[in-house]
Amino acid sequence: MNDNLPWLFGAFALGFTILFGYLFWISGKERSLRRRIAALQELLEQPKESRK
Amino acid sequence: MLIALYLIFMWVTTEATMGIMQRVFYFHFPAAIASFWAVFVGGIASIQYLRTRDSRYDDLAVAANESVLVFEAINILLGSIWGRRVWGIWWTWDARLTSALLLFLIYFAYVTLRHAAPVEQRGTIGAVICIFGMADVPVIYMANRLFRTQHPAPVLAGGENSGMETDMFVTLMVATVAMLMLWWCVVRVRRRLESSARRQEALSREIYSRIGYLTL
Repeated sequence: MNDNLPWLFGAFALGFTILFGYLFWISGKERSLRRRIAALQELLEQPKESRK
Repeated sequence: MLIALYLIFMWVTTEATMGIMQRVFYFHFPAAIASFWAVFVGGIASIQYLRTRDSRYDDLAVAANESVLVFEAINILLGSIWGRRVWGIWWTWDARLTSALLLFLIYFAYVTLRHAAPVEQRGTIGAVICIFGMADVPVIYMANRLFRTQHPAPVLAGGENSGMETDMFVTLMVATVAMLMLWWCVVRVRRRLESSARRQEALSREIYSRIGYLTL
């Protein structure tokens, strides 16, 4: 029975790694998107002359 | 989820035939239920998007459909590990396993094609693929009811010989509710990302139309 213990923990660890790995990937992408949005908004709010 | 983990590892009775390896079931089954919910929510959101062209439905569809990939991957991989220890094999091409793999592949196609398709056609292409995904769920559900499979017979709603001990049932239900809550968190976070991406695209287009070039 105890032979299966590493397999059991391995299976749960794999499940949580996939789940939280995906969540971290999404948060990373969102952070980078927020930075881009802020930069784009800044560019949009600049007066016309300073853009050239 | 912590309560579910406590029940799984500390409280529930160990199954007589498979031993502690059977506890993988309390993660494997809830992941399958979460992916079925994701297919359902993603499908409804896609149909609503086709009807209304409201981008909020498309955001929800993307979030739910992408989560099918994550939860189905967990379901298949954990099932495979369980199978290796109990049946002695990682994989077999039986009806239940193959139809579950098909669901994963359909949603892999969804994600891939959505990235490749032109922006204005993404929602439509995605919605069409979702219909195939929705059609596969009843096939998965019925696979081990209609065919003799390597996969165990259903323990819930499986007829006369199905059923489980009360403590196992309670643990399974708590784990399923916990997984569905986790799934909903994943969908909400992913939907927020999709609406941010849409906002970034809109801003880029606006800047391009005003300035004529984009230097970011």
